[in-house]
Amino acid sequence: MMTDEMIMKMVGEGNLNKMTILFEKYQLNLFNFFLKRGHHHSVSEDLTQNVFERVLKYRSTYNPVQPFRAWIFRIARNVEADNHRNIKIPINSLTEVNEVKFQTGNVLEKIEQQEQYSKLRKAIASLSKEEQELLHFSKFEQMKYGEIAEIMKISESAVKVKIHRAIKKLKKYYQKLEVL
Amino acid sequence: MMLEIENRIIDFYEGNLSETAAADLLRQVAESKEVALVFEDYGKVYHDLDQQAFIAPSQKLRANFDQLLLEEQQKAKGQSASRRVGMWPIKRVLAYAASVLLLVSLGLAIGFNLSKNTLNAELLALRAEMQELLKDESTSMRIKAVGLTYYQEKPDEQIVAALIETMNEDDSQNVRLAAVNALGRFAHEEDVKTALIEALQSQKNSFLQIKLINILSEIKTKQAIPSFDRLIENEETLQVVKSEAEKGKARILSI
Repeated sequence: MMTDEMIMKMVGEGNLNKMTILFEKYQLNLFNFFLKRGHHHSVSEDLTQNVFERVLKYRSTYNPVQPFRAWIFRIARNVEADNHRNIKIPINSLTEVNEVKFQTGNVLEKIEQQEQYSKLRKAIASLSKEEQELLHFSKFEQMKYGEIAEIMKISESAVKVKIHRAIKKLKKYYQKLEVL
Repeated sequence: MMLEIENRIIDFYEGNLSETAAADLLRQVAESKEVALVFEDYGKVYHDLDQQAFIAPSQKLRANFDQLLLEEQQKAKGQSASRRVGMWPIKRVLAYAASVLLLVSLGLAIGFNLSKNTLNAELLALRAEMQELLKDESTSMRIKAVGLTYYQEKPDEQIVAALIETMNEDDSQNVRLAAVNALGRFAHEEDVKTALIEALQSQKNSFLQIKLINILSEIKTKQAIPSFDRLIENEETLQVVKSEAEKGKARILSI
């Protein structure tokens, strides 16, 4: 069974066709990583493309000892940091992006889902960039703390502490909204 | 005291508590209204976090990647060709190439059975792992199962059948979308094409409908047009899906 690490090693050795396997596997995750960071749909696509450009550019430097997923998400974080456009859509216009997602079920369900998602997006937007990333990796990508630590170059215990802090902030934000 | 309980509640939802500690916490939740309220508050946050769905990029991303890969391959070819030219006289290159070809042919004949066995073992292992993961309760494990199919460059009957079943029947929209994406690679195969067209009739999720429309219009299959028309004519279809179906139909019918 070929692992991502083995495939990337083959890409590094010149078998560029294998890159398609990694593209198919990671494009959705990377795209959503940028989207949930508040970037516009088309900017998120551009940033995703930039990640794969860098993966190809630095293919010969990849060491298969390191987990591929952690490596590609580190590249993604660097791509975002280097992004000069920084075009982020305002929170309330995120409803257009998610309109298709929530048009299921009856009308009351649709409205409730829309409100819940809008609340979550606003709550997450109130967190620091690091906290947003931690929650994305933990809750959306379902990564373990060790893997997140590898991507963000912090200790596992720091990941745990920061996630705790972020969750508490989200809960406080939710409570604030309920009071209003 | 409440700070400590909050930390334990978060650990509970994070899956970091031992069975004993979790049982102890739940006992406190049952006994104290205050703790129960805090527990419920965190529950709402985690519930919403777990409901987040994937949003699909447009086809442009794939097209751009294909272009990028092609350029990179051409660059690599150009570099290796320029390394060879000028190093060896052409006659020597041809003689070397002929001897290599002979050796490779012999090697292939000997190695064919060995590689065939290895390939079968790998395929069997892939099928087994995929089937196991598809039974998992966790959506991320089932998405991982779908992701495994990308290791297969050519369609395997059993794997395709598993993907079709997942597309049609998995509880999670994200898993079904992942299965549709994976099947898109084999959309030219008759059985896959048929399954995708049928899914367009049965799937009510607009995300999936749009993805299916995009795949079927990309392969320009006229068999899909009646399904596109049904979506367009159906009052319950979302406008955004109708627009995609109209664009898809135009694309299929264009020369």
